Amino acid sequence: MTHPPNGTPDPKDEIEVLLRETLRDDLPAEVEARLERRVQKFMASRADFRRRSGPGLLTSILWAPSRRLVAAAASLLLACGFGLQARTGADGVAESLSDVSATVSLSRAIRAASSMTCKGLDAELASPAALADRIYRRWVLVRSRAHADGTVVHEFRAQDERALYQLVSTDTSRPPSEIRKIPLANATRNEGTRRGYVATCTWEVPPAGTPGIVFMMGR
Amino acid sequence: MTSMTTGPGASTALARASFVALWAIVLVAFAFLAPSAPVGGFLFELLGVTAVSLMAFAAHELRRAARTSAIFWEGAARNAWMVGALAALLFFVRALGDSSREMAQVARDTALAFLPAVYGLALAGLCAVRALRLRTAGAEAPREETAGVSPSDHWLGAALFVVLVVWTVVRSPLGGAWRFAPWEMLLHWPAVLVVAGAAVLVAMIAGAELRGRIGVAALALAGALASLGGLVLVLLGFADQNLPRVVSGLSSILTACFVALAGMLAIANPIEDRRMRQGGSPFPINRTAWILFPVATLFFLVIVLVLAMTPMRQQM
Repeated sequence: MTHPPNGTPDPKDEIEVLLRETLRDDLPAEVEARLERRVQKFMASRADFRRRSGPGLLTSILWAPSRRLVAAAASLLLACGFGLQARTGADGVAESLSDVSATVSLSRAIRAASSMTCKGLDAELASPAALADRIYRRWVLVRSRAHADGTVVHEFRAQDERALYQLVSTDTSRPPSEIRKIPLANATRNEGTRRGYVATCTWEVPPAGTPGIVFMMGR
Repeated sequence: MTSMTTGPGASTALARASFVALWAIVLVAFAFLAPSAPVGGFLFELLGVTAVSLMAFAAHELRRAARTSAIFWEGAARNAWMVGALAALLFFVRALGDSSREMAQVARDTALAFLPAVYGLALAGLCAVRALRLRTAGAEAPREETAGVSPSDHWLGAALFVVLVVWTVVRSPLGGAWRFAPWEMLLHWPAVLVVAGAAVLVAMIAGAELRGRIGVAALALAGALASLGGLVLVLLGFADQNLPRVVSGLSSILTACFVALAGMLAIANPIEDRRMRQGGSPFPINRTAWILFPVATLFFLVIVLVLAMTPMRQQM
Protein backbone atom coordinates (compact mmCIF):
# COMPACT_ATOMS: atom_id res chain seq x y z
CA MET A 1 0.00 0.00 0.00
CA THR A 2 1.38 3.47 -0.88
CA HIS A 3 0.75 6.65 1.04
CA PRO A 4 0.95 10.24 -0.17
CA PRO A 5 3.98 12.24 0.91
CA ASN A 6 2.09 14.08 3.70
CA GLY A 7 1.36 10.78 5.46
CA THR A 8 -2.45 10.93 5.11
CA PRO A 9 -3.82 7.62 3.84
CA ASP A 10 -5.48 7.80 0.41
CA PRO A 11 -9.27 7.08 0.65
CA LYS A 12 -9.06 4.95 -2.52
CA ASP A 13 -6.48 2.69 -0.93
CA GLU A 14 -8.62 2.35 2.17
CA ILE A 15 -11.58 1.22 0.06
CA GLU A 16 -9.39 -1.24 -1.74
CA VAL A 17 -8.17 -2.71 1.50
CA LEU A 18 -11.71 -2.93 2.80
CA LEU A 19 -12.88 -4.68 -0.37
CA ARG A 20 -10.03 -7.15 -0.25
CA GLU A 21 -10.73 -8.00 3.35
CA THR A 22 -14.45 -8.34 2.79
CA LEU A 23 -14.26 -10.28 -0.45
CA ARG A 24 -11.54 -12.65 0.52
CA ASP A 25 -10.78 -15.49 -1.83
CA ASP A 26 -12.17 -18.19 0.41
CA LEU A 27 -13.74 -20.46 -2.17
CA PRO A 28 -13.62 -24.14 -1.29
CA ALA A 29 -10.88 -25.96 -3.14
CA GLU A 30 -13.41 -28.17 -4.93
CA VAL A 31 -15.32 -25.17 -6.30
CA GLU A 32 -12.14 -23.44 -7.28
CA ALA A 33 -10.97 -26.52 -9.15
CA ARG A 34 -14.29 -26.78 -10.96
CA LEU A 35 -14.15 -23.14 -12.02
CA GLU A 36 -10.60 -23.66 -13.18
CA ARG A 37 -11.66 -26.63 -15.28
CA ARG A 38 -14.42 -24.60 -16.89
CA VAL A 39 -12.05 -21.78 -17.70
CA GLN A 40 -9.58 -24.21 -19.24
CA LYS A 41 -12.33 -25.88 -21.23
CA PHE A 42 -13.50 -22.51 -22.54
CA MET A 43 -9.97 -21.52 -23.48
CA ALA A 44 -9.47 -24.88 -25.20
CA SER A 45 -12.67 -24.47 -27.19
CA ARG A 46 -11.56 -21.01 -28.31
CA ALA A 47 -8.19 -22.35 -29.33
CA ASP A 48 -9.88 -25.21 -31.18
CA PHE A 49 -12.15 -22.74 -32.97
CA ARG A 50 -9.15 -20.62 -34.01
CA ARG A 51 -7.32 -23.70 -35.20
CA ARG A 52 -10.28 -24.79 -37.31
CA SER A 53 -10.83 -21.30 -38.65
CA GLY A 54 -7.41 -21.27 -40.28
CA PRO A 55 -4.97 -18.38 -40.26
CA GLY A 56 -6.51 -15.41 -38.49
CA LEU A 57 -5.47 -12.83 -41.07
CA LEU A 58 -6.95 -14.79 -43.95
CA THR A 59 -10.17 -15.38 -42.03
CA SER A 60 -10.56 -11.72 -41.17
CA ILE A 61 -9.98 -10.72 -44.78
CA LEU A 62 -12.42 -13.24 -46.22
CA TRP A 63 -15.12 -13.15 -43.57
CA ALA A 64 -16.42 -9.59 -43.98
CA PRO A 65 -17.11 -9.80 -47.70
CA SER A 66 -18.32 -13.39 -47.42
CA ARG A 67 -21.06 -12.34 -45.00
CA ARG A 68 -22.28 -9.82 -47.51
CA LEU A 69 -21.97 -12.44 -50.21
CA VAL A 70 -24.00 -14.95 -48.22
CA ALA A 71 -26.67 -12.35 -47.49
CA ALA A 72 -26.84 -11.41 -51.17
CA ALA A 73 -26.99 -15.06 -52.23
CA ALA A 74 -29.76 -15.74 -49.71
CA SER A 75 -31.76 -12.77 -50.97
CA LEU A 76 -31.28 -14.00 -54.52
CA LEU A 77 -32.46 -17.49 -53.59
CA LEU A 78 -35.52 -16.03 -51.92
CA ALA A 79 -36.40 -13.81 -54.88
CA CYS A 80 -35.82 -16.60 -57.42
CA GLY A 81 -37.86 -19.03 -55.35
CA PHE A 82 -40.83 -16.69 -55.10
CA GLY A 83 -40.46 -15.68 -58.74
CA LEU A 84 -40.41 -19.27 -59.96
CA GLN A 85 -42.93 -20.69 -57.54
CA ALA A 86 -45.63 -20.59 -60.21
CA ARG A 87 -43.44 -22.76 -62.40
CA THR A 88 -45.40 -25.78 -63.52
CA GLY A 89 -45.15 -28.71 -61.20
CA ALA A 90 -44.59 -32.29 -62.27
CA ASP A 91 -46.99 -33.63 -64.92
CA GLY A 92 -47.59 -36.78 -62.92
CA VAL A 93 -48.84 -34.79 -59.96
CA ALA A 94 -51.12 -32.69 -62.18
CA GLU A 95 -52.56 -35.80 -63.83
CA SER A 96 -53.07 -37.49 -60.50
CA LEU A 97 -54.88 -34.54 -58.96
CA SER A 98 -56.87 -34.12 -62.15
CA ASP A 99 -57.94 -37.78 -61.92
CA VAL A 100 -58.95 -37.33 -58.30
CA SER A 101 -60.92 -34.23 -59.23
CA ALA A 102 -62.59 -35.92 -62.22
CA THR A 103 -63.57 -39.01 -60.21
CA VAL A 104 -65.06 -36.98 -57.38
CA SER A 105 -66.81 -34.66 -59.83
CA LEU A 106 -68.35 -37.48 -61.87
CA SER A 107 -69.36 -39.44 -58.80
CA ARG A 108 -71.10 -36.41 -57.33
CA ALA A 109 -72.84 -35.54 -60.59
CA ILE A 110 -74.22 -39.09 -60.90
CA ARG A 111 -75.24 -39.27 -57.25
CA ALA A 112 -77.04 -35.96 -57.59
CA ALA A 113 -79.32 -37.27 -60.34
CA SER A 114 -82.88 -38.13 -59.33
CA SER A 115 -83.10 -41.07 -61.71
CA MET A 116 -81.49 -42.65 -64.76
CA THR A 117 -82.72 -44.64 -67.70
CA CYS A 118 -80.12 -46.73 -69.48
CA LYS A 119 -80.63 -49.21 -72.30
CA GLY A 120 -78.34 -52.23 -72.16
CA LEU A 121 -76.68 -51.54 -68.80
CA ASP A 122 -76.03 -54.24 -66.18
CA ALA A 123 -78.81 -54.39 -63.60
CA GLU A 124 -76.37 -53.87 -60.75
CA LEU A 125 -75.39 -50.47 -62.14
CA ALA A 126 -78.87 -49.32 -63.01
CA SER A 127 -79.35 -46.67 -60.31
CA PRO A 128 -77.47 -43.39 -59.75
CA ALA A 129 -76.42 -44.43 -56.25
CA ALA A 130 -75.10 -47.82 -57.41
CA LEU A 131 -73.15 -46.36 -60.32
CA ALA A 132 -71.72 -43.52 -58.20
CA ASP A 133 -70.73 -46.03 -55.55
CA ARG A 134 -68.94 -48.20 -58.11
CA ILE A 135 -67.01 -45.20 -59.44
CA TYR A 136 -65.99 -44.02 -55.98
CA ARG A 137 -65.31 -47.31 -54.25
CA ARG A 138 -64.43 -49.99 -56.82
CA TRP A 139 -63.22 -48.39 -60.02
CA VAL A 140 -59.88 -46.70 -60.68
CA LEU A 141 -59.70 -43.92 -63.25
CA VAL A 142 -57.11 -44.92 -65.83
CA ARG A 143 -57.31 -41.92 -68.16
CA SER A 144 -59.56 -39.08 -69.28
CA ARG A 145 -59.70 -37.84 -72.85
CA ALA A 146 -61.38 -34.65 -74.04
CA HIS A 147 -62.49 -34.64 -77.68
CA ALA A 148 -62.82 -31.72 -80.06
CA ASP A 149 -66.64 -31.88 -79.97
CA GLY A 150 -66.56 -31.20 -76.21
CA THR A 151 -67.26 -34.75 -75.06
CA VAL A 152 -65.09 -36.25 -72.34
CA VAL A 153 -64.34 -39.96 -72.06
CA HIS A 154 -63.36 -41.27 -68.62
CA GLU A 155 -61.87 -44.75 -68.69
CA PHE A 156 -62.09 -46.76 -65.47
CA ARG A 157 -60.57 -50.09 -64.57
CA ALA A 158 -62.89 -52.25 -62.50
CA GLN A 159 -61.06 -53.72 -59.50
CA ASP A 160 -63.36 -56.72 -59.12
CA GLU A 161 -63.67 -57.84 -62.77
CA ARG A 162 -61.40 -57.90 -65.76
CA ALA A 163 -63.02 -55.07 -67.66
CA LEU A 164 -62.71 -51.42 -68.52
CA TYR A 165 -65.63 -49.03 -68.38
CA GLN A 166 -65.74 -45.93 -70.55
CA LEU A 167 -68.12 -43.18 -69.45
CA VAL A 168 -68.83 -40.60 -72.12
CA SER A 169 -70.10 -37.22 -70.91
CA THR A 170 -70.84 -33.99 -72.70
CA ASP A 171 -69.26 -32.19 -69.76
CA THR A 172 -67.18 -33.33 -66.77
CA SER A 173 -69.81 -32.04 -64.38
CA ARG A 174 -72.65 -33.96 -66.04
CA PRO A 175 -73.56 -37.66 -65.78
CA PRO A 176 -72.48 -39.85 -68.70
CA SER A 177 -74.70 -40.13 -71.74
CA GLU A 178 -73.07 -43.39 -72.74
CA ILE A 179 -71.47 -46.21 -70.75
CA ARG A 180 -69.29 -48.77 -72.54
CA LYS A 181 -68.00 -51.98 -71.02
CA ILE A 182 -64.87 -53.43 -72.64
CA PRO A 183 -63.75 -56.84 -71.35
CA LEU A 184 -60.00 -57.28 -71.12
CA ALA A 185 -58.32 -59.87 -73.34
CA ASN A 186 -57.79 -62.40 -70.56
CA ALA A 187 -61.30 -62.08 -69.10
CA THR A 188 -62.36 -65.70 -69.58
CA ARG A 189 -63.59 -66.74 -66.20
CA ASN A 190 -67.28 -66.23 -66.67
CA GLU A 191 -69.68 -65.24 -69.38
CA GLY A 192 -70.81 -62.05 -67.61
CA THR A 193 -67.32 -60.58 -67.52
CA ARG A 194 -66.61 -61.41 -71.15
CA ARG A 195 -69.71 -59.70 -72.49
CA GLY A 196 -69.12 -56.09 -73.48
CA TYR A 197 -71.85 -53.56 -74.20
CA VAL A 198 -72.65 -49.97 -75.04
CA ALA A 199 -75.47 -48.47 -72.99
CA THR A 200 -77.05 -45.10 -73.71
CA CYS A 201 -78.40 -43.19 -70.73
CA THR A 202 -80.74 -40.31 -70.01
CA TRP A 203 -80.72 -38.58 -66.65
CA GLU A 204 -83.18 -36.67 -64.57
CA VAL A 205 -81.25 -34.00 -62.69
CA PRO A 206 -82.79 -32.04 -59.79
CA PRO A 207 -83.25 -28.29 -60.21
CA ALA A 208 -80.38 -26.02 -59.30
CA GLY A 209 -80.29 -24.93 -55.68
CA THR A 210 -80.41 -28.33 -54.02
CA PRO A 211 -78.00 -28.19 -51.07
CA GLY A 212 -74.55 -29.46 -51.94
CA ILE A 213 -74.31 -31.55 -48.78
CA VAL A 214 -77.11 -33.75 -50.17
CA PHE A 215 -74.95 -34.46 -53.21
CA MET A 216 -71.98 -35.29 -51.09
CA MET A 217 -73.57 -37.55 -48.54
CA GLY A 218 -76.02 -39.29 -50.88
CA ARG A 219 -79.68 -39.77 -50.26
CA MET B 1 -2.54 -50.22 -21.24
CA THR B 2 -4.33 -52.12 -23.95
CA SER B 3 -7.47 -52.51 -21.88
CA MET B 4 -7.47 -48.80 -21.05
CA THR B 5 -7.37 -47.76 -24.69
CA THR B 6 -9.63 -50.40 -26.21
CA GLY B 7 -12.12 -50.91 -23.38
CA PRO B 8 -14.22 -47.74 -23.65
CA GLY B 9 -13.87 -47.68 -27.43
CA ALA B 10 -15.06 -51.25 -27.68
CA SER B 11 -18.07 -50.59 -25.47
CA THR B 12 -18.94 -47.52 -27.54
CA ALA B 13 -18.68 -49.51 -30.75
CA LEU B 14 -20.78 -52.29 -29.23
CA ALA B 15 -23.44 -49.82 -28.13
CA ARG B 16 -23.46 -48.30 -31.60
CA ALA B 17 -23.69 -51.68 -33.32
CA SER B 18 -26.52 -52.80 -31.03
CA PHE B 19 -28.39 -49.60 -31.71
CA VAL B 20 -28.04 -49.93 -35.49
CA ALA B 21 -29.01 -53.61 -35.45
CA LEU B 22 -32.17 -52.94 -33.44
CA TRP B 23 -33.00 -49.94 -35.58
CA ALA B 24 -32.53 -51.93 -38.80
CA ILE B 25 -34.86 -54.67 -37.58
CA VAL B 26 -37.62 -52.14 -36.88
CA LEU B 27 -36.93 -50.51 -40.27
CA VAL B 28 -37.41 -53.84 -42.04
CA ALA B 29 -40.65 -54.36 -40.13
CA PHE B 30 -41.76 -50.88 -41.16
CA ALA B 31 -40.78 -51.28 -44.80
CA PHE B 32 -42.09 -54.75 -45.52
CA LEU B 33 -44.67 -55.64 -42.90
CA ALA B 34 -46.43 -52.41 -42.03
CA PRO B 35 -46.77 -50.13 -45.05
CA SER B 36 -49.99 -48.45 -43.90
CA ALA B 37 -50.27 -45.43 -41.62
CA PRO B 38 -51.85 -47.03 -38.51
CA VAL B 39 -48.89 -49.36 -37.78
CA GLY B 40 -46.29 -47.97 -40.17
CA GLY B 41 -46.77 -44.49 -38.75
CA PHE B 42 -46.02 -45.73 -35.26
CA LEU B 43 -42.86 -47.51 -36.40
CA PHE B 44 -41.80 -44.43 -38.37
CA GLU B 45 -42.27 -42.39 -35.22
CA LEU B 46 -40.04 -44.70 -33.18
CA LEU B 47 -37.37 -44.92 -35.88
CA GLY B 48 -37.36 -41.17 -36.48
CA VAL B 49 -37.15 -40.15 -32.83
CA THR B 50 -34.33 -42.58 -32.05
CA ALA B 51 -32.32 -41.62 -35.15
CA VAL B 52 -32.63 -37.92 -34.35
CA SER B 53 -31.75 -38.49 -30.68
CA LEU B 54 -28.51 -40.12 -31.78
CA MET B 55 -27.46 -36.82 -33.33
CA ALA B 56 -27.33 -35.21 -29.89
CA PHE B 57 -26.59 -38.14 -27.57
CA ALA B 58 -24.04 -40.83 -28.35
CA ALA B 59 -25.28 -44.42 -28.57
CA HIS B 60 -23.48 -45.47 -25.36
CA GLU B 61 -24.99 -42.48 -23.49
CA LEU B 62 -28.62 -43.17 -24.40
CA ARG B 63 -29.43 -45.56 -21.57
CA ARG B 64 -27.95 -43.30 -18.88
CA ALA B 65 -29.46 -40.19 -20.44
CA ALA B 66 -32.89 -41.84 -20.41
CA ARG B 67 -32.53 -42.39 -16.66
CA THR B 68 -31.10 -39.09 -15.61
CA SER B 69 -31.24 -36.35 -18.22
CA ALA B 70 -34.14 -33.93 -18.43
CA ILE B 71 -32.52 -32.42 -21.53
CA PHE B 72 -32.72 -35.80 -23.27
CA TRP B 73 -36.45 -36.13 -22.58
CA GLU B 74 -37.21 -32.53 -23.51
CA GLY B 75 -35.44 -33.09 -26.82
CA ALA B 76 -37.27 -36.38 -27.31
CA ALA B 77 -40.63 -34.67 -26.70
CA ARG B 78 -39.84 -32.03 -29.28
CA ASN B 79 -38.56 -34.60 -31.78
CA ALA B 80 -41.58 -36.86 -31.29
CA TRP B 81 -44.01 -34.08 -32.10
CA MET B 82 -42.03 -32.98 -35.14
CA VAL B 83 -41.43 -36.51 -36.45
CA GLY B 84 -45.18 -37.12 -36.09
CA ALA B 85 -45.93 -34.13 -38.30
CA LEU B 86 -43.27 -35.21 -40.80
CA ALA B 87 -44.68 -38.74 -40.91
CA ALA B 88 -48.18 -37.35 -41.49
CA LEU B 89 -46.84 -35.34 -44.42
CA LEU B 90 -45.00 -38.31 -45.96
CA PHE B 91 -47.87 -40.76 -45.53
CA PHE B 92 -50.25 -38.18 -46.98
CA VAL B 93 -48.17 -37.80 -50.17
CA ARG B 94 -47.73 -41.56 -50.41
CA ALA B 95 -51.50 -42.01 -50.27
CA LEU B 96 -52.04 -39.46 -53.03
CA GLY B 97 -49.30 -40.93 -55.18
CA ASP B 98 -50.31 -44.59 -55.06
CA SER B 99 -51.93 -45.49 -58.38
CA SER B 100 -53.39 -48.85 -57.52
CA ARG B 101 -56.18 -47.65 -55.26
CA GLU B 102 -59.76 -46.70 -55.91
CA MET B 103 -60.94 -43.24 -54.88
CA ALA B 104 -62.50 -44.33 -51.59
CA GLN B 105 -59.24 -45.98 -50.53
CA VAL B 106 -57.20 -42.91 -51.51
CA ALA B 107 -59.49 -40.69 -49.42
CA ARG B 108 -59.28 -43.14 -46.52
CA ASP B 109 -55.49 -43.35 -46.68
CA THR B 110 -55.08 -39.57 -46.81
CA ALA B 111 -57.29 -39.29 -43.73
CA LEU B 112 -55.33 -42.03 -41.92
CA ALA B 113 -52.10 -40.22 -42.77
CA PHE B 114 -52.85 -37.87 -39.88
CA LEU B 115 -52.60 -40.75 -37.42
CA PRO B 116 -48.78 -40.53 -36.98
CA ALA B 117 -49.26 -36.95 -35.79
CA VAL B 118 -51.55 -38.30 -33.05
CA TYR B 119 -48.88 -40.85 -32.09
CA GLY B 120 -46.30 -38.07 -32.13
CA LEU B 121 -48.34 -35.87 -29.84
CA ALA B 122 -48.99 -38.73 -27.42
CA LEU B 123 -45.31 -39.68 -27.32
CA ALA B 124 -44.31 -36.05 -26.93
CA GLY B 125 -46.66 -35.77 -23.96
CA LEU B 126 -45.13 -38.82 -22.29
CA CYS B 127 -41.59 -37.56 -22.86
CA ALA B 128 -42.47 -34.09 -21.60
CA VAL B 129 -43.94 -35.53 -18.39
CA ARG B 130 -40.76 -37.58 -17.87
CA ALA B 131 -38.64 -34.47 -18.40
CA LEU B 132 -40.78 -32.53 -15.97
CA ARG B 133 -40.39 -35.25 -13.33
CA LEU B 134 -36.62 -35.19 -13.68
CA ARG B 135 -36.58 -31.40 -13.49
CA THR B 136 -38.84 -31.39 -10.45
CA ALA B 137 -36.66 -33.99 -8.76
CA GLY B 138 -33.70 -31.70 -9.38
CA ALA B 139 -31.83 -34.25 -11.42
CA GLU B 140 -28.82 -32.70 -13.03
CA ALA B 141 -27.11 -34.01 -16.07
CA PRO B 142 -24.01 -36.05 -15.15
CA ARG B 143 -20.81 -34.13 -15.70
CA GLU B 144 -19.76 -36.42 -18.55
CA GLU B 145 -22.85 -35.40 -20.44
CA THR B 146 -21.46 -31.98 -21.02
CA ALA B 147 -19.00 -33.47 -23.46
CA GLY B 148 -20.08 -33.14 -27.08
CA VAL B 149 -21.41 -36.13 -28.99
CA SER B 150 -18.85 -37.80 -31.21
CA PRO B 151 -19.01 -36.97 -34.92
CA SER B 152 -19.49 -40.65 -35.76
CA ASP B 153 -22.66 -40.87 -33.70
CA HIS B 154 -23.91 -37.59 -35.08
CA TRP B 155 -23.41 -38.66 -38.69
CA LEU B 156 -24.76 -42.12 -37.97
CA GLY B 157 -27.97 -40.58 -36.63
CA ALA B 158 -28.20 -38.29 -39.65
CA ALA B 159 -27.64 -41.20 -42.03
CA LEU B 160 -30.32 -43.32 -40.35
CA PHE B 161 -32.78 -40.44 -40.51
CA VAL B 162 -32.06 -39.92 -44.23
CA VAL B 163 -32.46 -43.65 -44.90
CA LEU B 164 -35.83 -43.62 -43.14
CA VAL B 165 -37.16 -40.61 -45.06
CA VAL B 166 -35.80 -41.73 -48.43
CA TRP B 167 -37.16 -45.24 -48.01
CA THR B 168 -40.58 -43.88 -47.11
CA VAL B 169 -40.84 -41.68 -50.20
CA VAL B 170 -39.19 -44.07 -52.64
CA ARG B 171 -41.10 -47.27 -51.99
CA SER B 172 -44.83 -47.29 -52.64
CA PRO B 173 -46.97 -48.79 -49.85
CA LEU B 174 -47.60 -52.08 -51.67
CA GLY B 175 -44.47 -52.02 -53.79
CA GLY B 176 -46.43 -51.19 -56.96
CA ALA B 177 -46.07 -48.33 -59.41
CA TRP B 178 -46.60 -44.74 -58.32
CA ARG B 179 -49.20 -42.53 -59.93
CA PHE B 180 -46.58 -39.87 -59.26
CA ALA B 181 -43.38 -40.25 -57.27
CA PRO B 182 -43.68 -38.49 -53.89
CA TRP B 183 -40.42 -36.60 -54.31
CA GLU B 184 -41.97 -34.79 -57.30
CA MET B 185 -44.32 -33.16 -54.82
CA LEU B 186 -41.90 -32.96 -51.89
CA LEU B 187 -39.01 -31.34 -53.73
CA HIS B 188 -40.62 -28.57 -55.76
CA TRP B 189 -37.35 -26.71 -56.14
CA PRO B 190 -38.63 -23.07 -56.13
CA ALA B 191 -40.05 -23.75 -52.66
CA VAL B 192 -36.73 -25.26 -51.59
CA LEU B 193 -35.02 -22.04 -52.69
CA VAL B 194 -37.48 -19.93 -50.70
CA VAL B 195 -36.98 -21.96 -47.53
CA ALA B 196 -33.19 -22.00 -47.86
CA GLY B 197 -32.94 -18.31 -48.76
CA ALA B 198 -35.30 -17.13 -46.04
CA ALA B 199 -33.67 -19.28 -43.33
CA VAL B 200 -30.16 -18.07 -44.19
CA LEU B 201 -31.35 -14.47 -44.38
CA VAL B 202 -33.00 -14.66 -40.96
CA ALA B 203 -29.81 -16.16 -39.52
CA MET B 204 -27.71 -13.39 -41.09
CA ILE B 205 -30.00 -10.65 -39.81
CA ALA B 206 -29.97 -12.19 -36.32
CA GLY B 207 -26.24 -11.49 -36.04
CA ALA B 208 -23.31 -13.46 -34.72
CA GLU B 209 -24.63 -13.72 -31.15
CA LEU B 210 -27.94 -15.32 -32.09
CA ARG B 211 -26.99 -17.13 -35.28
CA GLY B 212 -26.27 -20.44 -33.67
CA ARG B 213 -29.34 -20.28 -31.45
CA ILE B 214 -32.24 -19.50 -33.74
CA GLY B 215 -31.93 -22.26 -36.34
CA VAL B 216 -35.28 -23.80 -35.37
CA ALA B 217 -37.11 -20.49 -35.45
CA ALA B 218 -35.48 -19.42 -38.72
CA LEU B 219 -36.46 -22.66 -40.47
CA ALA B 220 -39.99 -22.48 -39.09
CA LEU B 221 -40.36 -18.91 -40.29
CA ALA B 222 -38.94 -19.79 -43.72
CA GLY B 223 -41.22 -22.82 -44.01
CA ALA B 224 -44.30 -20.83 -43.05
CA LEU B 225 -43.38 -18.11 -45.53
CA ALA B 226 -42.98 -20.53 -48.44
CA SER B 227 -46.16 -22.42 -47.48
CA LEU B 228 -48.21 -19.24 -47.43
CA GLY B 229 -46.73 -18.29 -50.80
CA GLY B 230 -47.88 -21.67 -52.09
CA LEU B 231 -51.33 -21.16 -50.61
CA VAL B 232 -51.69 -17.86 -52.43
CA LEU B 233 -50.70 -19.63 -55.64
CA VAL B 234 -53.33 -22.33 -55.10
CA LEU B 235 -56.04 -19.76 -54.53
CA LEU B 236 -54.99 -17.88 -57.65
CA GLY B 237 -55.09 -21.15 -59.55
CA PHE B 238 -58.63 -21.79 -58.36
CA ALA B 239 -59.65 -18.26 -59.28
CA ASP B 240 -58.27 -18.73 -62.82
CA GLN B 241 -59.36 -22.38 -63.10
CA ASN B 242 -55.72 -23.16 -63.81
CA LEU B 243 -54.84 -26.68 -62.68
CA PRO B 244 -51.07 -26.49 -63.27
CA ARG B 245 -50.91 -23.44 -61.04
CA VAL B 246 -52.94 -25.20 -58.37
CA VAL B 247 -50.55 -28.14 -58.56
CA SER B 248 -47.53 -25.82 -58.27
CA GLY B 249 -49.06 -24.19 -55.21
CA LEU B 250 -49.88 -27.52 -53.55
CA SER B 251 -46.36 -28.79 -54.29
CA SER B 252 -44.90 -25.59 -52.82
CA ILE B 253 -46.88 -26.00 -49.62
CA LEU B 254 -45.89 -29.62 -49.13
CA THR B 255 -42.27 -29.00 -50.10
CA ALA B 256 -41.94 -26.04 -47.74
CA CYS B 257 -43.34 -28.02 -44.81
CA PHE B 258 -41.18 -31.05 -45.65
CA VAL B 259 -37.91 -29.15 -46.09
CA ALA B 260 -38.43 -27.02 -42.98
CA LEU B 261 -39.34 -30.01 -40.78
CA ALA B 262 -36.50 -32.16 -42.11
CA GLY B 263 -34.06 -29.27 -41.69
CA MET B 264 -35.15 -28.67 -38.11
CA LEU B 265 -34.91 -32.36 -37.22
CA ALA B 266 -31.61 -33.07 -38.95
CA ILE B 267 -29.74 -29.79 -38.45
CA ALA B 268 -31.26 -27.27 -36.05
CA ASN B 269 -32.51 -29.56 -33.28
CA PRO B 270 -29.21 -31.40 -32.70
CA ILE B 271 -27.41 -28.04 -32.54
CA GLU B 272 -29.95 -26.82 -30.00
CA ASP B 273 -29.60 -30.02 -27.95
CA ARG B 274 -25.81 -29.82 -27.90
CA ARG B 275 -26.03 -26.18 -26.84
CA MET B 276 -28.34 -27.13 -23.99
CA ARG B 277 -26.01 -29.93 -22.89
CA GLN B 278 -23.17 -27.46 -22.69
CA GLY B 279 -25.16 -25.42 -20.21
CA GLY B 280 -26.95 -23.08 -22.60
CA SER B 281 -30.29 -21.62 -21.62
CA PRO B 282 -33.48 -22.48 -23.51
CA PHE B 283 -34.45 -19.99 -26.20
CA PRO B 284 -38.22 -19.30 -25.98
CA ILE B 285 -38.70 -18.45 -29.66
CA ASN B 286 -37.34 -21.88 -30.63
CA ARG B 287 -39.81 -23.59 -28.33
CA THR B 288 -42.66 -21.58 -29.82
CA ALA B 289 -41.45 -22.49 -33.31
CA TRP B 290 -41.24 -26.23 -32.74
CA ILE B 291 -44.63 -26.30 -31.08
CA LEU B 292 -46.40 -24.22 -33.72
CA PHE B 293 -44.78 -25.28 -36.99
CA PRO B 294 -46.03 -28.91 -36.87
CA VAL B 295 -49.51 -27.52 -36.10
CA ALA B 296 -49.18 -25.29 -39.18
CA THR B 297 -48.04 -28.29 -41.23
CA LEU B 298 -51.11 -30.30 -40.22
CA PHE B 299 -53.30 -27.30 -40.98
CA PHE B 300 -51.76 -27.03 -44.46
CA LEU B 301 -52.26 -30.77 -45.01
CA VAL B 302 -55.97 -30.41 -44.26
CA ILE B 303 -56.15 -27.57 -46.76
CA VAL B 304 -54.34 -29.65 -49.39
CA LEU B 305 -56.68 -32.58 -48.74
CA VAL B 306 -59.77 -30.41 -49.17
CA LEU B 307 -58.40 -28.69 -52.27
CA ALA B 308 -57.26 -31.95 -53.87
CA MET B 309 -60.74 -33.42 -53.44
CA THR B 310 -62.46 -30.29 -54.70
CA PRO B 311 -63.53 -30.80 -58.33
CA MET B 312 -62.36 -28.14 -60.76
CA ARG B 313 -62.23 -27.98 -64.51
CA GLN B 314 -58.86 -28.24 -66.10
CA GLN B 315 -57.64 -25.51 -68.41
CA MET B 316 -54.18 -26.49 -69.53
